[in-house]
Amino acid sequence: MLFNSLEFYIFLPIVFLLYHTFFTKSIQSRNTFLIFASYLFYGWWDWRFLILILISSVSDYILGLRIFTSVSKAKKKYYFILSLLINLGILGFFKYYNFFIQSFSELLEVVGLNPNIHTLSIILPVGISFYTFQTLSYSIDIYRGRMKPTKDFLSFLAFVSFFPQLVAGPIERASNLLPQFHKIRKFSYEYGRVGMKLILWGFFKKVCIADNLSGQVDIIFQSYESLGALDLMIGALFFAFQIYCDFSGYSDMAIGLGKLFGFDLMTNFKYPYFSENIGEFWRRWHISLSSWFRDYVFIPLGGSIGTKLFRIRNLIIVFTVSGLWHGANWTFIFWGFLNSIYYLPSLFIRFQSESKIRRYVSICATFFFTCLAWIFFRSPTISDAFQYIVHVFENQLILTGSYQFEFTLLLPFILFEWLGKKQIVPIMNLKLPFIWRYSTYLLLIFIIIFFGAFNEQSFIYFQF
Amino acid sequence: MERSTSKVLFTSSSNMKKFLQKILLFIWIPIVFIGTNLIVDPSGLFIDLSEPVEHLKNNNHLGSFTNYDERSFVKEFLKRSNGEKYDIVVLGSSRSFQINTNSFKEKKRLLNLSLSQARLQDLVTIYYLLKINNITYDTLIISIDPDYFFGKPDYRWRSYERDYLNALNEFKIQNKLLVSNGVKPSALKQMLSTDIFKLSIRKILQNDLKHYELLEDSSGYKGSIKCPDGSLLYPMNKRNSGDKENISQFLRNKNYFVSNDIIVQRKTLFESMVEQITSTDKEIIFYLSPFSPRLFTINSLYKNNIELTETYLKVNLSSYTMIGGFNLNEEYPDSDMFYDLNHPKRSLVNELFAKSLD
Repeated sequence: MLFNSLEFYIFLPIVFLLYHTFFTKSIQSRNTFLIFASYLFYGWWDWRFLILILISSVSDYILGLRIFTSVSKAKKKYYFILSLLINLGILGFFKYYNFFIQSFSELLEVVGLNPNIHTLSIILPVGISFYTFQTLSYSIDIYRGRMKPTKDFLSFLAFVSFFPQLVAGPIERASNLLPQFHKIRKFSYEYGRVGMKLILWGFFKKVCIADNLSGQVDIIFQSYESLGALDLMIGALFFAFQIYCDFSGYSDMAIGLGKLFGFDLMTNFKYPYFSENIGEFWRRWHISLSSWFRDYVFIPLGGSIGTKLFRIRNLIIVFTVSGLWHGANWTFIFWGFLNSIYYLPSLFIRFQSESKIRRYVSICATFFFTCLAWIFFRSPTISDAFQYIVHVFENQLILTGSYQFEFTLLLPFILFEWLGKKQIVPIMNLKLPFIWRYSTYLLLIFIIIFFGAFNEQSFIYFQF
Repeated sequence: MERSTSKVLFTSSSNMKKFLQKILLFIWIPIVFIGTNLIVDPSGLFIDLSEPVEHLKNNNHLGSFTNYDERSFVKEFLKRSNGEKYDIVVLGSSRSFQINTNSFKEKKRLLNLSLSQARLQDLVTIYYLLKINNITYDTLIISIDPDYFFGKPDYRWRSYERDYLNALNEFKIQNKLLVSNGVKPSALKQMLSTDIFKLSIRKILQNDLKHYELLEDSSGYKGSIKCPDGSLLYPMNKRNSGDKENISQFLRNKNYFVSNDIIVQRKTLFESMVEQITSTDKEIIFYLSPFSPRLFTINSLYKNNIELTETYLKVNLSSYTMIGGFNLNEEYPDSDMFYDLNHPKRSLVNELFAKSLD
């Protein structure tokens, strides 16, 4: 079920009202209802894949307890590795099997062998990378002694499958989200107010900005050979905002929905395009994933301790693996690698500028390099991405397309984000009289109705 | 396990009350939204289609008859035409709307049953409806569209889903896979559609709440005209202008798949249908409605779909009469002969038929 689908518009009010009226008696009944709603939400796409969520949940629940109760270190390690194998095995098979087989086959061809290896028709389960990483963090934290396992199976099932963040994050840490399933969750007006604003802004970003840009982006990236150089630059710019509004829009809605059910989910975006350097960008973009890789890959590898070469190695590994997390394609790996190159100066130099002009120049430069990297992320192959960049220089410096509509939406949006960048979302704490605030929300709703693209496009990050 | 108390429930209720009070400030929006869509009903989901059908059958032209459920309309039309005989019947998508009685030198009794966003399911169902309503004809023109093979599913055909299933049964076509669970064009969908809302507002602003106009004299009428032969004349401004459509506008909706081959189920359904249709002694003509030359100037994936479809048809339908072609750039390089990127003008269609049937 998509957040921007007819089914969800019906699903949400029903679940919300039932949750806050009939399922208030005990934590257990609330969690059971949330599990039911979450499984319905996910199963609407393909009920067969519920079994994967169930396998992941059951195995990590049992193994978490075993890791904790085992006395010997060897046993703890054994159960921990088993948990890793199950989670990464599921992820590896469904997401990376064909990629590795194909890449291996191509490698053999390069050395003159003619392998007869077949790929399989495997459907990629929606959100597999998100819930797998979430459950992995649970096992790792228990193994490291940072948290105790839960004995409440229902809470654990609800934690893994919680529908607002099940398919595209934020990737929650068990230490943050799981205890919330153990508490009595009262409906709070404040949570409801914040939640609705997050949902409204996220929805606006998705249907008005991201989905309206997606059509142009697709055409430009398909036809880069024959379009003007300016079109190609606009294509990269549009994709940068498409992916930002698509994903951060989803995150805003997820966090907002969480609030409606009494949960605090972690912030996932903090206006990343206003960053002054790549290091800052990565502290503001997909924060739940960046911090996951920092805590569970970068720091265990040695982090920023050790020789320069050692730190560089760690950084390249983390970014490349993070690229691979995004998808089974060399383009994502290259995108990750490119970002590690961008990030390297941040390891050794502290960027801080007092001058306003220098700050703005830094923001623009960071945005430029980010857009450049997005070309690799969006292109079907690395060679296409390079060709795209080459064509920016080779094609005539003209504009062949017409983008007034998209810019009419995009420019005020950027301005509004800039002005509201101190809030979680720009409309969060409007210091205006009631009637003006009310009018702003109404205006936003009417912009969504009249300018939103309502063809139920999936969120880009569902595929990861 | 902790249990909540009635006090908790009470606190929660007061918060909820305040929250719902605020939500109520916005509740008029969906009410107005749904109400407008219901009252204006721009899709004519709640109108009695027998009336416009009768008008058309009485040789009248209908002005600005748009956004209605074309499938239900055609079904009603065929029901009321039981036992009638036509010289030519046309099946196809909006790209064959322009085939009309003047496309042929001799005066013919023609019935154009083309449908917007037609899919293979539509062709099968209408062919079946012709059969069960005992409508006879000498020639059947089937307009082929790349979207039959590469178009994303469009569920408008579910308006007559029962007839489609009966058709599969009757023609012994084993293709249940094409029976999908997409949403039917329904009152519910209309009520919640932003597109319908925009259309409703436009109709209100234009003070035009009628579903169609009965035209005594269609010449000079500025809106679209549904002709008694089933063909459609576009609104005057579109009729008089050439293809100026923004390419991105056409491809924005991404209503097509990108694939190196035709989806097997579609191929099977098409071939079963052709086998069924060609088993009769009627003359069968396949029509390939051309695309604007401008479409071929961009390196689009759609161009690839067009070429794949044309190659497939030329291999499989080589023994049948075929009129037109998707890519007629050499003969008709002028994009002014098209209303937009994928709809040829009536004059071009007439010329193609005149040339081919000489």
